[in-house]
Amino acid sequence: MTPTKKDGSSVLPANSSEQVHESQHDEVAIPELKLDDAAQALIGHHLRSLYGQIVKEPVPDQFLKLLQDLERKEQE
Amino acid sequence: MSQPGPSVREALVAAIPNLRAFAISLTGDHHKANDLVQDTLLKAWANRDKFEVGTNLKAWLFTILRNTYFSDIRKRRRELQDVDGQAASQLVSPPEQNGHLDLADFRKALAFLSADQREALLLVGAEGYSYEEAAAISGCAVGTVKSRVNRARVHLSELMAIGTARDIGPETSTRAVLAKSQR
Repeated sequence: MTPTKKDGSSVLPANSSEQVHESQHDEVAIPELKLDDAAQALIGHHLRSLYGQIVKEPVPDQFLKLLQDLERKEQE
Repeated sequence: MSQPGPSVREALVAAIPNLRAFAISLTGDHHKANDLVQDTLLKAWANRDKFEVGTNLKAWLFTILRNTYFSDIRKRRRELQDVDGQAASQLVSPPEQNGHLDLADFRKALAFLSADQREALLLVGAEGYSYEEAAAISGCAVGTVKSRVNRARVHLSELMAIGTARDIGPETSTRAVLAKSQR
């Protein structure tokens, strides 16, 4: 049993200097455009189907192998 | 529970399906997405002492992935001077506007959005993050995320000619959006 490492450091790098700030050009307030509820529901539905299909795919071997190699290297 | 948490490797493996979905939907390109996921895993492994297993790991990984993606875009922008219109110009034609929307059309339409808008829409609409969580991941204001999600939805509905958005004048018509994205 290996104890879980807990060093109390913050989990999210949101405020760290490595955070990348993307262009802020679209922060300008735009007039409220109201989308049809049905259109919004349809977009949400398609978005989740597209995304969900990929989430359900098996994890490619290349990633499993990469992590196994990294873990093995650490244990040597 | 006195059980130890999953190993770092196991925790990373568990996050891969969502990382792939985010990367593929963001880039619209399986090859680029694979590279992005691999870079993210390598960076996460190298910095694994910076997170606690089981706590917000996925959000941390999403942050690494999107930071890698956007810094790559900036690098390429310096080289090519053309990023905004890139996805759009690679498409032969915009999605068919026959009022019928299938997944293939939807995938095409997503590629017409700006990367910022696509990111916001994916985090909130597909991954289910709150506006606040999405803002923390993207390193921007909550209002910016809301505005990007709203614009993304409006653009998508225009591109696919569904559910005619009210109050949309000619200046925000699909043609204008497309013309802008192909400048």
